[in-house]
Amino acid sequence: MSGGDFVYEQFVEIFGLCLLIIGFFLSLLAGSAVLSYLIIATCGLLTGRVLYKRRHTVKIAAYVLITVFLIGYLLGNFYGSKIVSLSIFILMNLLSYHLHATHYFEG
Amino acid sequence: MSFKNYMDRVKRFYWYSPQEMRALFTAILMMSFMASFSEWGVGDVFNAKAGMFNWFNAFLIMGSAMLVQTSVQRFVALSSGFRGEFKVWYYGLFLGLIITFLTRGTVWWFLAPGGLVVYHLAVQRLGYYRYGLTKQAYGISSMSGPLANIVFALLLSFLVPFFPDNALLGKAIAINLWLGIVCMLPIPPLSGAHMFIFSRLAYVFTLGAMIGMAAMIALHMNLLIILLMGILLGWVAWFMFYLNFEKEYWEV
Repeated sequence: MSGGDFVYEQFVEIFGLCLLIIGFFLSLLAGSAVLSYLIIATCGLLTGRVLYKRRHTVKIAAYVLITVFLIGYLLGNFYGSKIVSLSIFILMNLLSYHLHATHYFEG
Repeated sequence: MSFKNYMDRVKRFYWYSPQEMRALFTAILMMSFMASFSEWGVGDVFNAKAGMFNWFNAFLIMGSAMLVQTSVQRFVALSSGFRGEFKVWYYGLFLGLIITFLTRGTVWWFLAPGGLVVYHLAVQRLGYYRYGLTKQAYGISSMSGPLANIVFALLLSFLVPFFPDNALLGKAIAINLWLGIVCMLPIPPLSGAHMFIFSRLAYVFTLGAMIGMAAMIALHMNLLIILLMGILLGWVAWFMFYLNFEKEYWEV
């Protein structure tokens, strides 16, 4: 199998690993609980947009990548509560998806 | 095209749509939050009142900067027979916010609000020139916005000797300079990408000139030095890019 074929077939695993590391360091570099919550809130808004944009296509890759990123972020979350971070992420994700669905972010 | 014809276009096609206004408002709100992030208190002490006041000031400055950028883009696009529209880039705005949080407001200047989208004014172009969108018109219309921000910063810098202790003036100059330079990055859908697609050499010259002018404005140099350094750095960038990339590419 060539390198290109490998990346094509395993792109979810490869990008998942990258996102796991990015999420871990993003959380680690936050430095305080407030900043950690602000970052995860922004990520929640961002992933809500991603899910909305992919609502008519295959979503499983997006779900896997978002979950892996979230796991990485929670693993590196030493400054705040993991439960609060997870709650903020889900709430912001739903809010972003709802705002997109109501065409607030159209443009 | 006569001046009367141009003014007619401006009257009919300049105005912002409600969707655009909403997108602009959101972009300005997010970018002004980034610009005022390190001003929510004194030292390590958080102060919500001071923070809100600084956010409001940053919102007004960012609003004026975006108004200048988008308006000039529209005026230039209309002169070429196209209607310009602001297209927001939410991924860029979210990325800027995350960078601001991570650096605790030190790197607030990743201001990537979006770029210009142009639409053809078919009736306006009848009998004047061939139909169709050209890369040149799109590139130049896009580039005019960030360039207008640099010129606006230059005009504001003339006010500094009259108001030497005005922090808002300094902030307005900094915001306009950073907005102009970041929007010229060749990342779609930012304005720089359209210029890059039109002509790489013209893009490199413009970017070099803009960086040179921005650096001189930030150092409070006089107008002649600002213009000379801008042109000089533009030519140096153009020449280096030509020698190291374009020449070889053309020979293949």
